[in-house]
Amino acid sequence: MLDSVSPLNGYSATINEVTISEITRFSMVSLAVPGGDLTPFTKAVKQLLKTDIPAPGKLTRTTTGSMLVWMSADQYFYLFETEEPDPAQSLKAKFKDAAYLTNQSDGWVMLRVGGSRKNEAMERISQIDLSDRQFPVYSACRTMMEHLGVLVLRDEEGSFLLLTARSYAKSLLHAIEMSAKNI
Amino acid sequence: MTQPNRISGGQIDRTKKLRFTFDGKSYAGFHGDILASALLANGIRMVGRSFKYHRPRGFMTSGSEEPNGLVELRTGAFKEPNTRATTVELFDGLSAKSQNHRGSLKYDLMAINDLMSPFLSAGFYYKTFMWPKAFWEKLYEPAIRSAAGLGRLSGEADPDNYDKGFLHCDILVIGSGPAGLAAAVEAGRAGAQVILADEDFTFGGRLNSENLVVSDIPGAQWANQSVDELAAMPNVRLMPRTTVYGAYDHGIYGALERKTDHLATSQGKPRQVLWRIYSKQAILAGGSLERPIGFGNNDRPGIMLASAVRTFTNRFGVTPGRQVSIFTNNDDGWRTALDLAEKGVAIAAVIDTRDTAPLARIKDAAIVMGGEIVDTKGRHGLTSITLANGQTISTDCLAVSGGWNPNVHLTCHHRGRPVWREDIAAFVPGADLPVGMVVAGAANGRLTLGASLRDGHQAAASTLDAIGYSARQSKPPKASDEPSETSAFWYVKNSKARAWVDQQNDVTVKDIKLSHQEGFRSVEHLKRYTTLGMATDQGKTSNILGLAVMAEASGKSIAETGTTIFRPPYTPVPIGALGGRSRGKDFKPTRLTPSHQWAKEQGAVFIETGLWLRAQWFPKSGETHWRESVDREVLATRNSVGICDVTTLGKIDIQGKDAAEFLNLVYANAFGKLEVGKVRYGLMLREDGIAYDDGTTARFAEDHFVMTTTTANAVLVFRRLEFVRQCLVPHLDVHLVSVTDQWAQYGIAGPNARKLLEKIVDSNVDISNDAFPFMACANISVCDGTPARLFRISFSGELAYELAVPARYGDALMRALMKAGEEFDVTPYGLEALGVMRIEKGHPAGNELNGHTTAHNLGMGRMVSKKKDAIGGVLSEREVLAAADAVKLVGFKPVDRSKALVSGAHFITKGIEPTMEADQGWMTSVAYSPSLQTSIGLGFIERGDERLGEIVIAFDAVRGSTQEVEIVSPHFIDPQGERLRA
Repeated sequence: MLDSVSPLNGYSATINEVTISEITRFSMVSLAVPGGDLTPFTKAVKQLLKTDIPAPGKLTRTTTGSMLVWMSADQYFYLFETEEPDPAQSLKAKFKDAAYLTNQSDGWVMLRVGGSRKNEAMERISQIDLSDRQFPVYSACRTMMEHLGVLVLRDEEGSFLLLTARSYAKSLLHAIEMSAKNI
Repeated sequence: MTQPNRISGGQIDRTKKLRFTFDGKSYAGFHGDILASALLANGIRMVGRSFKYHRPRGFMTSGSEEPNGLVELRTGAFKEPNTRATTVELFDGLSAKSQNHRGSLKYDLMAINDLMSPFLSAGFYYKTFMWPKAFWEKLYEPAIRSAAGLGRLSGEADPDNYDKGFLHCDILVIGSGPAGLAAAVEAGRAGAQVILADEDFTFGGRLNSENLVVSDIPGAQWANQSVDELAAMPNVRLMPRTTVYGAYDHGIYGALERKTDHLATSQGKPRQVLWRIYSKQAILAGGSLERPIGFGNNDRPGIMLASAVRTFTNRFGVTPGRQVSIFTNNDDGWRTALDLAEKGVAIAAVIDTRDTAPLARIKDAAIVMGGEIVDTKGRHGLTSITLANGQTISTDCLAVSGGWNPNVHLTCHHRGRPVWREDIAAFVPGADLPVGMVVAGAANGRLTLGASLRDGHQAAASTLDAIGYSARQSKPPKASDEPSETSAFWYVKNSKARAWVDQQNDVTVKDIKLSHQEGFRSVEHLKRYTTLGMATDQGKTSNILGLAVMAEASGKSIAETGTTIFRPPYTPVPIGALGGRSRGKDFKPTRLTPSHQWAKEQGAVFIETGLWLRAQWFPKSGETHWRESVDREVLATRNSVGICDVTTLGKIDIQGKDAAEFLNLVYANAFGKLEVGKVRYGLMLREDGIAYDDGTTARFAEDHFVMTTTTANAVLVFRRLEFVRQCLVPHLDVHLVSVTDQWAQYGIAGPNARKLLEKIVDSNVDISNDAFPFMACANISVCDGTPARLFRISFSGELAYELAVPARYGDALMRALMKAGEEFDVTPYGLEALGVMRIEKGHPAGNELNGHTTAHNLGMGRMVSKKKDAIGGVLSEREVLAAADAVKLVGFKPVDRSKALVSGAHFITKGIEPTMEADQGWMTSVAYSPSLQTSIGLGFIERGDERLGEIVIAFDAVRGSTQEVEIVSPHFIDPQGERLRA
């Protein structure tokens, strides 16, 4: 096997009480609903992923920490931990005709932003309101930050998970670092 | 360093002494001072020269509406001209200089303009500089530009940082005076998310400047208590030093927060932050501004607004004069006299234009009811005033009150028009407010304290109700309503001397009358002709007075005359703040491929293609010109093997039972019968039949395709496919996901490409020509189990593959390929060599797919299938597009092989004069072909495919070149395609 490199080489830092760290443990697979028929899809998700399908703007979590994120009409992203080199392969066999799957594990960089002043940093680049009131745990949103398409996930208390296309990894990191420094 | 005009009281901290310089001389002030109060405390009345006449000027106000007190703040690259000293918080080490004078401030050579004032009336330059015409550009304009302007820029790049951000709230309260604080407290107590913003560094607004009582305690103390209560609420954000400068759509407000302007250095932090505030409701409590009265020589240092005199005295413990006089047309002016007298400041006179009973008796002061001031004296500062009755009164400070104007600015940002209220002789907000805005307090025409507090409290209740909160049934803070009778007295008609209306632009009463006399009847025309209300203060103190003079001249009422349009920003916003952090490399993001670091290590020269950074070429030591590197890379590839990073190509995963039908619709050529394990070149047309994008699409399963697009059009094609999927064929079962970033992809080209790959692919993968022929594709594994996709496609015309691995392996794969290729002298090649080889092969790219050309032009007309419906298929058949004499893509070679072709040259028949009518086509792409050792080109020429061998002229009018070129096949290399099928 070739050596693998994460987009930011496992970056981790704390700036002005804002913690920023690259998350590499998740694989990610997109799931599309064949023919828009949610019934078999929902059933398969419940049975295979042990979770419900999330409403728009939401994510659901399983007891093992996996996440299913609403992305758009008939499309979901599944984040989970696996050692398989092609994480879509085995899932595809299980889902059969209930979903179309595409491996997205390498297409994204994931950064967790936490710490007591995380919101003060994020308000400099996030047009959406990330306060606890408007963006509670299990919220998910696609938005723009510094011209970058970003997926913001609130998968746990106290932090956000930010995802953007892998090629933009350094630009997103720079935007977050600068926001933390500028507090 | 004594402060001769410092008196007792005020909100300054006398234990914190601060040193500063003005025009190079050192002074002292206290923490809590503004630059204006510190200068006045030190007896400095004259702080600048006026714009046009260079008249001595002092402070007129104590706030952001200041027209006169502009200084150059700080030094070197940090210098900021035209800074209002009335808004600058004093800090230790502050350095300020007066501006707009030649020579010293006291002895300004340009003061000669004042003597020439009869020749410099409104619009003088429109009339004066008419002739001779030639003088305008060379003499007049440079001279005017040199004389105009106020402060000077440093000419250096701004070393400060700026930032921006986004805030959200239920209720934005703009202004923290009595109404704003009452509203914020009520809204905060109800649990709403509140932002309270004020341009001042201390909350409280006029409460800090007045000796008024709220809820039985001094107003400033009540303000402090209210702010403490708000600060303890987690749902309230307090934003001092923040000017809400504009009201935009959907409850969005622009705000400028001055983060470090009150500090000696920013210490790396943003100096200012531009906020976009999203609000559900906004309460505008911006207060009101006092206005002056026009009378002869009313612009001398020492003449200021009565409210400003009270602010300096009550808030900053500074008396602007030792013998103060008051000139008023309303009750409020009397409070200045009373407040100053209480502080022990001598009052020389109170002159009230109203012939009524005096409002108060003031010790030793001359009280003149029904009086008017006709002139003043004092070369560098006021020494005396002369009344209409001839009486002269010695005085060094004149406090003028011409009534109050509610601050309607933000209410008009959505084109709302203020309405005139006769009882207060002022405009108040009209009914057409920005959606979600409520106006409260003095800004709403409630000009007394009690009314203002009640109005703020009520505004909170109504906004809370509008967004679903329940207001507490509390009562508004208690305060009495001070006397506030006013009169519509605008200017002293008996004054023979010039009476200033707009002190920032040196506009006088006479100028306005002249403007009207010369036919400028609209207020907007008046503004442009006289410059009334322009520049940093935007006429905050002068507009209504100017309108009143104009209304009188035109015989209309002020209401009929109307106001000019108020537009954002309310006060100046630095360009640096508007730019925020988007400077230099931070202007836009950058995309890097997984093997970018490897390319960097090889010394690649990168070029921006869209947001991507791509290797343009890889120079080797000894190479002194880019052509040497590119020629080497091309020859090495054609002779052995080269590797190119093609990760940037758009990749779209297409799945669904109807995926093939979908592709049949979006591509002009057929895809329905493409076999699994095969790739096909596809051409996409626009709806109008023009070529849109091209690329290859591979079929990995019956219901699974992977499309590649050009780098430039990756996003556009994806967006287009989504449009087709969602809007044109929503009934099809097809799903799209971008996988551009998922895969690192490399082109491996050259006669030794297969041999190299055989060392990389796992043993179970057969890539022989029979097992994996041209246009094959497969999911494979490389380097002991690394998942990969292999495509046998060729852009260079060589035996070539594109190998894709999940992006995490991209860097390692590139290194592995280079190592495996050592025995073949493998060469990495960049975008330039890629371009040369595609021209040699005759493949169209962006220059040819330029939004004007069709499949017919490109020589691909037969690809447009007639057997199926495809987007653009029908309209591509239009007569003009399918004409036999249309331009066709062909190749070109210079007749003189030693000469270089020129891209953009136009083709003309030999012997014909090069005119637009004679134009037959144009050269799209040129390159030096190291394989053919001559310059080659692609281009479009009428009936090109029928004219191979013909010599035409390539005429380049831009660069002035003309050369003979031969029309040849566009396929310069291997026209039969033997190499790529080898």
